[in-house]
Amino acid sequence: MPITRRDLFKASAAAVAVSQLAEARGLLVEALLQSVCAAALDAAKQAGASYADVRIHRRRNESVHVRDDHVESVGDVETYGAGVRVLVDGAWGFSASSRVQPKDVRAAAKTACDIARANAKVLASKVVLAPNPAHVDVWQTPLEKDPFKIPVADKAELLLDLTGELLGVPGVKFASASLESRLEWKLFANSEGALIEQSITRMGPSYAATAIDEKTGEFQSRAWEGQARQGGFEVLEQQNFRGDARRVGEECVQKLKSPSVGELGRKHVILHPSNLWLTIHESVGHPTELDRALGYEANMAGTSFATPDKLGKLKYGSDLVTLYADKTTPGGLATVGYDDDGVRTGRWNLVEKGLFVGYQTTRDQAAWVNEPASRGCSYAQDHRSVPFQRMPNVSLSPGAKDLKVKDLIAATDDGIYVTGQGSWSIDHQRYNFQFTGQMFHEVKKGKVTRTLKDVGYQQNSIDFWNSCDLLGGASEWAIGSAFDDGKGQPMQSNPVSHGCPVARFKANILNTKSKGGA
Amino acid sequence: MPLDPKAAAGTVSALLREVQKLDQKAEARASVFSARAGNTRFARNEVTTSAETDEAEVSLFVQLGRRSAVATTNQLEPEALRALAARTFALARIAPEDPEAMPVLGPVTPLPGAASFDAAAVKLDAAARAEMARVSIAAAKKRDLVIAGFAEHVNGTQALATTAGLNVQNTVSVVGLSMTARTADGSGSGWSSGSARGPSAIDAAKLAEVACEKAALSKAPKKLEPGRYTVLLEPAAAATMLRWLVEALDARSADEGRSFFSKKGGGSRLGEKLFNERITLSSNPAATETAGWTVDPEGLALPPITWVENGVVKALQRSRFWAQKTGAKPTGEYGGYSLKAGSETFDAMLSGIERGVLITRFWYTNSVDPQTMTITGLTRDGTFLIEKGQLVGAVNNFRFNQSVAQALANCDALSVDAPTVGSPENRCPAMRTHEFNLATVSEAV
Repeated sequence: MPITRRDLFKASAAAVAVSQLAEARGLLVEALLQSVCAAALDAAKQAGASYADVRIHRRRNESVHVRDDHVESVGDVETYGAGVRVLVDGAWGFSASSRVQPKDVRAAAKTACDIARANAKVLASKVVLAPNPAHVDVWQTPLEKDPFKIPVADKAELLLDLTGELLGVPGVKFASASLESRLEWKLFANSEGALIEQSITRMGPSYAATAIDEKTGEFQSRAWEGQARQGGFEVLEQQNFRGDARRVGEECVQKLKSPSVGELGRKHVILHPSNLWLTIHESVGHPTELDRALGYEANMAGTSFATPDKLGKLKYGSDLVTLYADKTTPGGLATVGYDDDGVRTGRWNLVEKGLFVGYQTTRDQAAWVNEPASRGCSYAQDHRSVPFQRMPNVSLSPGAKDLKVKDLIAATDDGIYVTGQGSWSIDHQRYNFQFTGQMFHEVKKGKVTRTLKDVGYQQNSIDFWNSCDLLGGASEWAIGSAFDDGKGQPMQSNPVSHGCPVARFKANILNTKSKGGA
Repeated sequence: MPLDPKAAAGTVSALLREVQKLDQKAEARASVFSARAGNTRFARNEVTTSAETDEAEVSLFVQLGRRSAVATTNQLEPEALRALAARTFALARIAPEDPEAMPVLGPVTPLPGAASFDAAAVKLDAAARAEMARVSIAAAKKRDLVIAGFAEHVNGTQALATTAGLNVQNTVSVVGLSMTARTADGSGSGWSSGSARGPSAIDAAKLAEVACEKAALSKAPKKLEPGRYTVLLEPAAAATMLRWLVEALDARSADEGRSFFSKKGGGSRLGEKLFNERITLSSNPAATETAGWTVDPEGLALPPITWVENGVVKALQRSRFWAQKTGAKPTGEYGGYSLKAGSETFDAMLSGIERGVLITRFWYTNSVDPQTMTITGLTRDGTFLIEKGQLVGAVNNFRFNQSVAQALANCDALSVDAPTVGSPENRCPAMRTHEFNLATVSEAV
C-alpha cells in the first residue's frame, strides 16, 4: 500500500522532531524522502510482495590515528543509500541502491522480489513475521558535544599531547592513540505504515604504549582500559581519557618488569568490568542468539550450547548471576529506539538467578520459540546489508551488596585480579573460551602482592558462570564495548556494549609465553 | 552494472580535476572500486536470506605539503565527487604535518599477468545461487544431514590515478561457495569451501560431497586427551598458520624491536633460517594460479616476491617511508600469499604418522604472544585420530596454543596439491608438523 504524506508525518511531534534532525539527515530533503519511501513500498507491492520495508541509511566514520609524535592518518568514510527488503511467496529478498531516487529504489524493489521468488523454490517453510505496531517516531542519541563539530586538528592535538606524555615515561618506546567518531542515520518505513527516523552517534577512544627491554629484546604493550560508548566527545571526559595517560605509561613499564606468571592451574580470577565485558560478550551474548542456537549460523560462527530444549532448565550460572539484554542502556553501543524491523526496543532477562530463560529474537524468529513478539534485535550495518539478528547490549546485574574491588580482593586467598582486554577466543558452540587482559595483579591472602605478566585464563562457559561467587555492587558497574562485532555471511559489523560489576570466578590460569605454546 | 574500465578511469580523472580546481599544487591519489555483488545464504536445508547490490567505493587521498587526509564515499554523481574533494581538502588543511609523508606515485606499468576476471561470473544471478544451494541441500538430505552454506559472486572494476600521472585499471571477479553439513543429532560436522575467479571451478555437488562425508565420518567423536601431537593440517588449517606468519612479516615492527622477526640487540632476522627448509612463501599476482592485480593500493608495481625461501626469511613487507628510512626497496602491499607445494600425496603424509590428529580447519584464532608468534584457536568440522598411518575415527575438538614459528619449524611434509584457500590469490598445501600443542578439550561439535 503506498504511504501518503499524511501517513508519513501523521504525528505532529514526529514532524517537529524530524525537522530538528534535518542536519543529521544530510543529503535528503523532505519531499524526496517521502517519494523514495513510497516508491520502494509501492513497487514492491506491485511486484507481488506481501511485506516490504525500505531503510535509507547514511553512515559516517571519521578517524584520527596518531603514532608516537605524528599523525599517522586522518580519514572520513561515508556511505549512503537505500535497502529494500521484501517477502514474496514466504521468502526473503533484498536489494540496495546507492542512488536514493524513486526510480532507483523501484528497481531495487523489483530485484528484491525476483530474488525472493528464486529463493522460494528452495524453501522448507514460509517466513512468518510476529505482529508489530506500525510506529511513527524519531529517536536520537542524547548528545552533549557533537564529535563531528570538533575540528580534526583539535582531536589530533589531544592525541599528540597524550602520546607525548606516554613517551615521556622512562622506558616507554612507542605510543599510539586513536579517536573514532561514528554517525549512523536511518529512516525506516514499511508496508504496515511504520516510519521511524533515528540518529546514533558513537565515540571510540583508545591508546596504548609499548616498552622494550633492550638487553633481552622482550617487549610488552599496555592499552588503556577505556571503552567506546554511544554519545559525543563527553565520552572521553567520562572515562578520564587524557588523565590516565601517565598511569598507563608507567604500568606498561611495570608490566615489562613483572615476573611471568608461574603458578598455573585452577584458581580465582577477579575480573574488572574492562575485562569481564568481553567474556560476557562471547560466553553469553553469542550463545543466546536464537538464529545461532538453531543452526542458521552453522557455516560461519557456528551454533550454540544454549539450545531451545534447555530454556528454563539449564543452570547457566550461580544463583548470583542475572544476565539481561537491553537495547535501552544509556551509553550502550547497541542502544536505539527501534530495531531494523521497526520494533520498539526494551530489556529482558536471558539468565535469571542462574537459570537460562531467554533469547535474542527478530520478527521472523519470535514464532520459533513460541513468543508473541520480537525482542527487537534486527540490525543491518549499512544500506546494502540484509538486516538479521544481532546482539543487543547484554549485561550482568550488580550484586545486592555494594561490594568494591577492594572487598573482592580482601575476600580472596589465592587469585589474580585482571583489568583490560587482551586476546580472546571461544569455540564454535561457545563452550571453551580463553582470554588474556592488560594488567594482572597477584592476590594472596586478601592482598595484592605484585603485578604479573603473560597471564591467560581458560574455562568452559557454564562452569565459569556457575563458579561466580562474588559480585561487585552498582557503584562498580560499568560498560565495555565492541565497535565491530562480526557475524553473518557476508560478514556484518554490529556495535554492542556489555555492562557488569567486578566479579569473582574460578578459571584455569595459563602462561601465554610457554615454550612453543602455552 | 559496475563501471567499465573506461568509465572507472573517467571517474578518478574527474575527481583529480576537482582536486586541481581547489589547488593546482595539491598531490592526490584517487581510486574507485565499482562492483556488482550477489549472495545467498542457506541453513537448515533451505535458503534463508539473499541480496544483490551494485555499489561503488570512491576514495580520495589529498596531500598538501606534509598534511594529508583520505575520504571515501559511495556516491558517483559529479556533485558527490566535488563534495568529496572539498571534504578531503577540508580535512587535509587542518591535519597536522606528517613527517613520514611520501609523494604520490607517478606512472606505473602493471606487469603483464593472468586475468583476475572471468566473464562467466557476470552472468550469475539469484537463480544460479539458489541452484548451488539446492544441489548442496539435496546431497545433505540424501544422507539425513542438515546443511548450511553461503554462495557469493562479485564482479567489478578497479581504477587508480594520481596527480603525478599514474593511471591504471583492472577488472576482477570472485565466485565462492562454502558449506557446513551436520548430523541431525548434532554429534558430527563437516565443512568444505571453494573460491575461484569464475563459476566453472566451483562444483557444488563435489563440495557438498566432501562436507557431507566429513560430517558422517565425524559423528559421535571419541574422547582424546589434550597434549602435543603430530598433526596433519588440511589446506584450510595450514593457511591459518600462514595468515599469522604474514601478519608478522613487517619490516618496521621487526626493526623497532617489537616482532618475532626482531633480532635481540637490534635489527631484524632477515636472512636467518627460522623455519623448516620445506617452507617457501611467495606472492605472485601475475601467475595464472594466483592471479590478482599487479599494482598495490598506492600504485606500486607488484613483481613476484619470495618472503621465505627454504625456511630462510628473504623479505619483510616494507612501506615506502620505511624503505626510504632504511635504505631499502619498498615491497608494496600484496593481496595474496602462497606456500609452495611439497612432494607428497595426502595419503603418503598420512601413512607417515604413527599417532596424530587430522585437522580440517581452525576457528577463532587470535594472537596471545607476538614475540613468539604464539596464537590460540580451536579445531572444528572434522578432527580425526590417526594411528599407524590410518584414520581411526573422529575425536573431540581442541583448543590449541601454539607458536606458528615453531609449527613451521617442525613441519616435515607438504602435500603435492595446493588448492586456493579463502581467496583465488592464496594457495596452500596440506602440512604435517609435530609437537603441536592441543592444549584443552573443546566440547563443541
